[in-house]
Amino acid sequence: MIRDGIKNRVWVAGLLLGVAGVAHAGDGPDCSRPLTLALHDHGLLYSAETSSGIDKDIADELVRRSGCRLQVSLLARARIWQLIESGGLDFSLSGIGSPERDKFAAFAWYFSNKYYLLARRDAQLQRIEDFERNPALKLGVIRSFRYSESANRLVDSLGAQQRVIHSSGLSALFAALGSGQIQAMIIEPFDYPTLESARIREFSQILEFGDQPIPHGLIMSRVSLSESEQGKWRALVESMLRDGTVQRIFEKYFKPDLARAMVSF
Amino acid sequence: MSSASRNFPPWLSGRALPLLVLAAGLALSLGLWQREHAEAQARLRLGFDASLREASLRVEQRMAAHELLLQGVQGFLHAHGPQDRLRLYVDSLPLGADFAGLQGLGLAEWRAAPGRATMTLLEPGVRRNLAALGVDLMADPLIRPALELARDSGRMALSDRFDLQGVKLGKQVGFLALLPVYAPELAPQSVEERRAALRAWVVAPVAMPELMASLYGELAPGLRLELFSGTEPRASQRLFASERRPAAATLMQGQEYLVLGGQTWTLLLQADGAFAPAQGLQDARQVLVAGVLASLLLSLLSWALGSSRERAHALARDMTAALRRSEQRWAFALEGAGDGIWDWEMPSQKLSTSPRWKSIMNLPDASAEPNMSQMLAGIHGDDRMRVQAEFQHCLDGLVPAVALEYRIADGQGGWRWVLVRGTVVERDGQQRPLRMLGTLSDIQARRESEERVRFMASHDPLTELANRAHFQERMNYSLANARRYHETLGLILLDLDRFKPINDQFGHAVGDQLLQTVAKRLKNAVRETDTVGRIGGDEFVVLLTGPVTRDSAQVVADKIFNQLAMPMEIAGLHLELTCSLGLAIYPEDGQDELSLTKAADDAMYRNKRAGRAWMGNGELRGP
Repeated sequence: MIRDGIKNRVWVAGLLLGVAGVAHAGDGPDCSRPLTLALHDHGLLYSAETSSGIDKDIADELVRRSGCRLQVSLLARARIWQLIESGGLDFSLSGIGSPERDKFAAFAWYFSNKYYLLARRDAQLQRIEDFERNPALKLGVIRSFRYSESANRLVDSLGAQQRVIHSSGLSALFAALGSGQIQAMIIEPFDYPTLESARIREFSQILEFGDQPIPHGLIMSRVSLSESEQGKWRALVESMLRDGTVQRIFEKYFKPDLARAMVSF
Repeated sequence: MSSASRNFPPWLSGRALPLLVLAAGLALSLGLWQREHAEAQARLRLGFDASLREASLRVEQRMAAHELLLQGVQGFLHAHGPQDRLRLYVDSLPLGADFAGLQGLGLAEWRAAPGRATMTLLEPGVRRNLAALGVDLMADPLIRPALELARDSGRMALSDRFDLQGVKLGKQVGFLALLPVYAPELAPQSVEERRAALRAWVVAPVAMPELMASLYGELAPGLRLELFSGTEPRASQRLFASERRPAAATLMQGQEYLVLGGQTWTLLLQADGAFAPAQGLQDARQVLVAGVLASLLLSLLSWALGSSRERAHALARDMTAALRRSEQRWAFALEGAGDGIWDWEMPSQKLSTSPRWKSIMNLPDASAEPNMSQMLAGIHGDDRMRVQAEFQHCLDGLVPAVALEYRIADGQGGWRWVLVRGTVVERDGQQRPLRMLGTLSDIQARRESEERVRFMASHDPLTELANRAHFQERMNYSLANARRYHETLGLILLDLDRFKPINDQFGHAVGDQLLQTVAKRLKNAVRETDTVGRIGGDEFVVLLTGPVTRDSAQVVADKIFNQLAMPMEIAGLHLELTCSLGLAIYPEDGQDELSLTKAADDAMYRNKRAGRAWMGNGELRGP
């Protein structure tokens, strides 16, 4: 899988446990070995160009609260899921569940969001169903990404018709949408800054899938982390939600109303 | 099939089941083929997707390996600084086939004042690489964005595709992989800090054909791989093509975008017909072919089975029809011959008969079949015992067949002669008769004809009186009888007086009528048991049997004489006639035919001579 821009970085947390007043020595996660966490380049979640984003802030907060040493890498999403499944990676962020993923991954939810179809206007869509009916239209998606129920159904249906073009990065999809190589892509609120581009707004429209918001969270490998460790990390995330830390992080990137809506699920 | 035949139109008769089997087989085969084809298509798609995925992975992993290599140089520089020792480090790297395409590892130093990125090192230090030293990478618009991206992100960045001749590395399509080197003591965290801390870039020129050639030696058959810079697969942006020839008829096509070091590459994979066999698509066709063949065979088999039964039915129908025709022929022949047919089943005592049989037996056509007791009751009493006995002989097996003539009641108070023939056609294990077949012929006409012939042979055709031969036979018989039982007989001879003149005068027709009248009067004058004969033209004879005396005979003779003497009206003529008579009595006047006849003849002539009167036994009595 793509390891574009792989970069091992280490955020060394303060060794003093309980700095955030969340846990004391006996209840915290096991930090006796280096843990691994991977980010993926995806809009506001993480920008490789600036080495910043929501996921990086969440990771920093996890390091700070757990006191553990996390080796952070930047990987393609598909590669991340492979490593989580095999146990080669302990954590990743902003993941959503599925029956298949639930077999090898555990989650600690900290926000939810909806999915939308960003389609070219010249595709002449009134509804999302119109896209599936026109065999000439192709959909671009990040490989290994899953979405809400309706979006997943659309992706699977088009995939069976060979109308899906995969990409290892979001930027390529925006470029392909602009050049007409694909006629639509599925976006999340994290992709809004790119949509601010006047050029994209000119030729595109946004259609709602109408599904309920899908919870996103910390991804934990069931292979490398025991049930009790997963529980400790889940408690850590929940404490971040309770004390407003997560909402404050989201408010750095979204308007307050949207940020509050995303972390209230 | 007979029921099927009734339910289907004629053209479908006998073909319905095979067609049904064929249709079901073809439908099943088609269904299986469609399912298999769909599965094969799904397998093909999965295989193709896996190939596309694998191709992407190979490129990504190779680029990840390159990045690791660059990070190794970056780390070395952070640790050691001087470039001369970097040369030793690069030389020690195992840059074999796993890093094919890598033209070298080098350093471009950043000079902030003029804004140059000058190549100061490119190992291995072969002549070609030495030519690149001193080149300002910032001056190349295709390289500059990558230099800036690497500088700002701290990560490896790739330049756009360009001709490596631009950095004096020979004419070939390639790109530069760039990784920033910062001042080791600064550890910048933001873009601004990175820009300030920038010292150089680790530079790795990569020749695209060599890179890809080392990756896709094992590309699956039927696949054609192309790599383009950007998201549009245009020839001008082609980085690599696995084959130079144009793609054959494309079965499947897929593309994937690879975001690598700030560059987007489009990987285009096409599959032609050679890709399908390995994915089991031929199996689907084999399923269809095998299914169609099996359907045809099953249909053929069902046709054979169905038609054999139909053929058996047809054969049975033919045989039945032939038998019926044969029966009709025989019945017609028998009926045509005027014979009736009867079939007697002994166990049930059932008698089956033909219409002609009933006609002969004076039974209506529609009447019920008669039973045997009714049959016996209709037989003439004189024949019944004989018929029963003959039939019993046949039933007992004493004779192979019966052929009997007997009389049956004709329904009008008379009797009709019939001929019955019959034989036992079926017996049980104990030789008891079970069935008897036979015919019945109406022989009444034949019997009447035979009677007539016999009568004509023994009687005078004109007068129907016994002729001479018959009379002699009767006389001999009566003489023998009289001799045996000591009885008497009387014999009267007579001839007509003056018959000849009448015959000559009035013609033979009148003469014949006269003779016939005489014959009738003779018969009327004698008893029924007596015999009257004509033994000459006008000569007659009467034999009196039974108890006869000379007196009783004389009475008869007188009666005859008187009857004949009575006038006759013939053909308008009034005729009177006399006759001469002579009487003889057995045994007094003669012991045998000859003597008796002579005695009667003598008496007649005596009377004739005596003047036309007559006297019994020769005695003249006077008129």
